[in-house]
Amino acid sequence: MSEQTRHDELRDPRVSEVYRELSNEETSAKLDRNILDMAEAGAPSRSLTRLLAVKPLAWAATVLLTVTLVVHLQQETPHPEALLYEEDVMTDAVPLPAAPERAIKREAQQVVAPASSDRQDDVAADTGTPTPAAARDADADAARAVQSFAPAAETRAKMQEVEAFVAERERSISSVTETPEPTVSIQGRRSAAPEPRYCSEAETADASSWYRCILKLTEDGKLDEAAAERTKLFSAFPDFEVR
Amino acid sequence: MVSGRSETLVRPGAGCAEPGRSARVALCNAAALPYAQHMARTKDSALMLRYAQDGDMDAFETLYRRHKDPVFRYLKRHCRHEETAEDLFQEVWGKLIRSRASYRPTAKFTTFLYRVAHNCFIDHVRRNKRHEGAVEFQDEWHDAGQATLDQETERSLARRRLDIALRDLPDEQRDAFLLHEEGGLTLDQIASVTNSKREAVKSRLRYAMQKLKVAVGDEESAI
Repeated sequence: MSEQTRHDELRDPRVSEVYRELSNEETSAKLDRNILDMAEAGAPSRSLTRLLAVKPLAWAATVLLTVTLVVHLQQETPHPEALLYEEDVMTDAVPLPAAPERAIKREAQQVVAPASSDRQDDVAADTGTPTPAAARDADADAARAVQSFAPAAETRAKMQEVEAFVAERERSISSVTETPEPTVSIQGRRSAAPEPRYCSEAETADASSWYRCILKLTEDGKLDEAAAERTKLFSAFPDFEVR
Repeated sequence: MVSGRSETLVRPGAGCAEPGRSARVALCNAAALPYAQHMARTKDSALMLRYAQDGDMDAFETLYRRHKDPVFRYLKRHCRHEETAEDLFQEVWGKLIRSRASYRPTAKFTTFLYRVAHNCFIDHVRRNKRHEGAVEFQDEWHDAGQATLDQETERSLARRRLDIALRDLPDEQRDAFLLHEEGGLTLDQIASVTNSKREAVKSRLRYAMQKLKVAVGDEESAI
């Protein structure tokens, strides 16, 4: 005999039917409201439960990802010298947003523009390829320039920093090119004890006259000599500005 | 009265009663109907867990609607006093709410609920040993005059006889009958609720049914 059959044995349809008719009481609305209010007051807070018990892994993952992202961004941020290198190489690069530091570097780079031309000349000399464009542009700019001296000490410091970087870079370029040197490299020239002078002492006494001498050398086609003198000029007068 | 109670119960966004009881608790929020239907199909234990763990009031309300009237009738049939039954009813649901954190769906929710109700009634009896005499006997049929009785239909008389027979049953037999009839519990579940042996429950229920059958049959044969 199954459980259901035995269960039904204890149930009388007539008694159940009459009992259903008799027993139809319902709870009052007030009682229902009391119970529901009591339940609502006793219900656990969803948000707190979720935060403390349900999502600790999500929180841990969020924190971990945030830390990783910050570290990654810090590592990816380019060094100032790297920025300068980038701008120097990519001549047609779109200018980035004008952050103050970047503006200072750009200004410093403009100041040492002739030195940059020098470098191109030297590199061209080392590799045996002509470099007329950059040098001519720099000379044309210089011809139109108004001589002035930047008073700011910090600009001078920046320029020295940039020059040091340029020298370092020239060194690295000369070591990478590995071509037989047809002429003496700039490094070699710098390391030589007495460097030849192409401008007289009277001309080198003043930055303006010294620069005019350099322009003359350039016009005469003595580009190497002009470059050498230009390097000396900016070493002697770091504040000299070509416009 | 029924509609008024339903309007009070159904809140915006709250679940509606199960389809079978739509006549008693209607006026569901149309927007909440799919959710209410989903709730209506959800098991009691799942609803209780949702309330206990997530504080889901819709789940609790569905659960409450499902069981409130049978539990109330169970208590009222026992103590036969409206206010006492309401107090016990609140005590039952209060205990359920307070013990939500420790609720584990190891047994059927109905068994758990009626065990709480049974214990509340037993505690009430122990607190007030004179409950038999202290409670006010509210039997509408006893208030009715003899003239009214003469006009009663056959079924009304059967209800009266059944009510009297229920009142006169021993507590254990009445308890077994009410758990069986109102809660729909099986013998094993009744045994679990009353902390008795299955055979004892079966015996109580059989005796109770015999007396109630006689009460209903005697009334019929008398008429």
